[in-house]
Amino acid sequence: MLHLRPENLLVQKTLTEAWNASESGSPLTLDRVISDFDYTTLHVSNSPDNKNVLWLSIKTKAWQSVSKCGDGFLEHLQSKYSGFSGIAPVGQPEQGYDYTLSVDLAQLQPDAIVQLSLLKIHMMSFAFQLAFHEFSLLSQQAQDPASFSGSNDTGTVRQLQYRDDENIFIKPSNDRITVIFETFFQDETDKVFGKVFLQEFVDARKRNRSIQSAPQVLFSHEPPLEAASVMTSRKADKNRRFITFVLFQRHFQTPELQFSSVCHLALFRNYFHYHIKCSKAYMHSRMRYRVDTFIKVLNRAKLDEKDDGDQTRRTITGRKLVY
Amino acid sequence: MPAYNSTFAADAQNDRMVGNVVLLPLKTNFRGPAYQANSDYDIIDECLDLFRANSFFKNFEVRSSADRVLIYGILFVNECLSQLRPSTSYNEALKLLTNVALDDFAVPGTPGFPLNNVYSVPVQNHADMDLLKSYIQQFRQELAMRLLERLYMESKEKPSKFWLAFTRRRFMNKSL
Amino acid sequence: MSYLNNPAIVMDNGTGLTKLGFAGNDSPSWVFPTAIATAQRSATKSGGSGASSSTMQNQSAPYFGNSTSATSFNSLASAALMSNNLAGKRGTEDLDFYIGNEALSAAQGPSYSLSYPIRHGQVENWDHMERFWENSIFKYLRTEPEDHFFLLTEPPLNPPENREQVAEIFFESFNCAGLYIAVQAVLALAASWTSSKVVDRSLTGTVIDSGDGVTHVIPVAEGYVIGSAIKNIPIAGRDITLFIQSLLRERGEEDTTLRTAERIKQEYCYVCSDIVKEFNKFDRDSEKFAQFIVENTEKTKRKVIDVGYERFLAPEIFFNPEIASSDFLTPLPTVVDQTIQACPIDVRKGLYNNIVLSGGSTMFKDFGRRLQRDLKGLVNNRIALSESLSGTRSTGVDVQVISHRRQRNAVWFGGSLLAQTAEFKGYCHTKKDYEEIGPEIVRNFSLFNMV
Repeated sequence: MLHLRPENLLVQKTLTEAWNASESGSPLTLDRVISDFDYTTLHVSNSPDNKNVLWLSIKTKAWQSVSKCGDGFLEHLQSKYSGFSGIAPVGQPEQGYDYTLSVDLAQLQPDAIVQLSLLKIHMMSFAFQLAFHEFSLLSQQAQDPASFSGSNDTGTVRQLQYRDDENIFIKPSNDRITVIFETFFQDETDKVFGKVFLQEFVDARKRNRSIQSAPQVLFSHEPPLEAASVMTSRKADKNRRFITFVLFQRHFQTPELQFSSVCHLALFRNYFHYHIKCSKAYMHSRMRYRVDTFIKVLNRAKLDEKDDGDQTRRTITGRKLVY
Repeated sequence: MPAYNSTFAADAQNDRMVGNVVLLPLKTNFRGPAYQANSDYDIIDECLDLFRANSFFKNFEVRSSADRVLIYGILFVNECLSQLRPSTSYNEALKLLTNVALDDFAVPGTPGFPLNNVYSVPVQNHADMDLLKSYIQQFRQELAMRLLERLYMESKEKPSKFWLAFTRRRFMNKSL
Repeated sequence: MSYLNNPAIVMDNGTGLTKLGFAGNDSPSWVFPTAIATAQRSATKSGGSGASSSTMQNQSAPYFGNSTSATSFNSLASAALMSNNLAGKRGTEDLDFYIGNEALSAAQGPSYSLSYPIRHGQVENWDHMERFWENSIFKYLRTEPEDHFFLLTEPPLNPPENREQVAEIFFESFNCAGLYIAVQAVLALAASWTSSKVVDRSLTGTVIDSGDGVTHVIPVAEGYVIGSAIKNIPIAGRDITLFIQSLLRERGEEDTTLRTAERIKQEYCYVCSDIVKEFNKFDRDSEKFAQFIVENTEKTKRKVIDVGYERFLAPEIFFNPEIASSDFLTPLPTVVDQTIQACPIDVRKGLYNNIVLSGGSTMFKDFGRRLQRDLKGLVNNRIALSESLSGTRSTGVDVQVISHRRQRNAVWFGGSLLAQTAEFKGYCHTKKDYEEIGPEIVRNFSLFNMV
């Protein structure tokens, strides 16, 4: 497959099973721990009082930094699900989890299930929403000559720490939004593959006219200037890479485009590493093929057994003599 | 477990033997040389009970002479079933099977009978051969009658398809 | 490292089905067939064990905005992906494949060919297996392998080279944090500890593992498999399904597809104690005959299939193989007995005492009881014979067959129990060890008892 799906298939499957079971009259007893990318754990279980009501809890590493980005985080999440009946946030999140939703199976609809499996994306989208909002303010400001105050008024930089040592920086400005990924390679071969892959990202835009509308991509070893202000002093680690996406207004004009941009960006790092691993697997299969052809050649080069050394001795009548 | 064997023991005093075939008592109203069975369960009931199970087996080990009667019974039931169709009604079946039972048949031990290696009868002794032949004929009639009872237990219009499914299974790959 | 808090991933790749999930859960998250459908030139359509992957192509287009569906490329008729011609390979056709149930449905069409990378428990096609793993980790489990430890299973008598291959793929391609490869029989024994009949947790016992293709009887002593005594029985789930199908056909039922036979097997079959008595029970009590209803998805057509004697005849082929096949004639209890007799004499008592069932085909009702009764009969006969010959009394042998609720995925469940303990991560081989020492470390895994 080329792209990773934004929704969590296992959450979807579990909720569908639970819904089917409760429709047919015998609700399931559930207590499942589901893991997702980037240190995310989801927990689906029955609520303590009612078997037909499920609790879906999520715990991510990114929660802290997303809630620090701005106010209205919980309201934002709530607004995503307010359109569906039967889904409500539980006041106190479950022990060890960051957020809990209670889901009433009797009122659940199929597209609600899809939205629930996108919970992690919705969570990360909050920071992006704030950035979009700020962008619209800034762009209006830039267009309004009265409050024009010098060149390139830039907005606040938001940092999402979604893995150990790896961050996403989002910075809106008056005509674009810059998203910087900081990623970390543990393996030497990964670095090489990563470099080739990113180079292709950068070049494809220039080479191919038809995708001029895609965001511009840059990558480097040192932190880009926009993010440098926020980053604490880090030793210039050779294993780090910074990948910058520059999004223009047409990428987040409508809510659908916004959602699709957020999906792609939120999963970018996983997508990137996934493709590096796929490339390694592909290299392996090429290597195995080569080794097989070499072995075939070697087998042909084996000397034939000399026949007169091992000549079977026969009697007159033709029977073999066995020693 | 291997195929099921007969539980009847050859009673040396009461039962007659022709060769190595024992003429077990039957609970029957048909005329013939067989003695009346004194218990409810006779060899014919046993044939019908064991028919379905033993049809699946290709190997059978003869442990007693009653087994030989059992084998014959199973083969005959198979032949009866092959005469019936899913649409045969009880009355038609009654006529068909009575004809089959009274038809000419090969006596075990004579040429024309499969499985002759299991049976050894004194073909020279005409009296014994006649006894055997009439015994078997009586056996066939009674077996056909009771088979019909079981087949048409549920409805008189068509036979039980679960029994008819065994038509194609050949016990030990042999048929009469 | 923060991955220490992440649950481990347990993957049990069998010949028929693959079970995937996270440690700590009581059942696998995903169960699907071990099948992969790779893109094939549309000119030839090959079912069954397909060829390796796909075609060369002469043009490509970076195709953004695509979902997981197939990317369609022009295909040229000729050399395989691996040919020398580099210029043509700009696309991502090696990523054009499906696994599991999606593979089975994709293979119905002309452009995908189906392949089963695992045969008889062993991996035959490493390319396909690597891609299968790649897809199952990223798409179904949605995890980054760098963050997790993995527990994989292997069949008994697996050559160490296969283990090294697995380690190579997992450490080099996927950069997994750590790896542990366990023998399936030992995990099945660990899973049996949840049964109420087991008082002490021991890793000595006989495992009867019956899946779809073949049944294995594997004696394990103190956690080590006694390889020379392993016996295979060619009767398993598929044979039972085929037998049911032949019975349905003989009766002239309306729907005699394999799928129907399989569902009848799963819903209605049970093991009886004696087939003659069971036939009589069916005669007396017509409730025993069941009806199975086949509906197609739009619920427009309905076929009613009667289910009769195959309810108990089908599982009977384990105990009386000659009713279904003419080349294999030894019943299961006899094979188990022969296996245990082939083991060293001092472990035999423990092996009789702890006979564990695992696998989908052992899930028939009363399977354990029938097996225990038959095996006890065999053992008692032998003891009686030896007592009469020697004149001394023996202390007796206690035969016990353990069934438990997790039998269907016993191997996976055992893996989940093992991987959720705190010491598990200490027993795995980590990437660091692999990089320092090399693949040879995978030849040995230390056994550990869960306390």
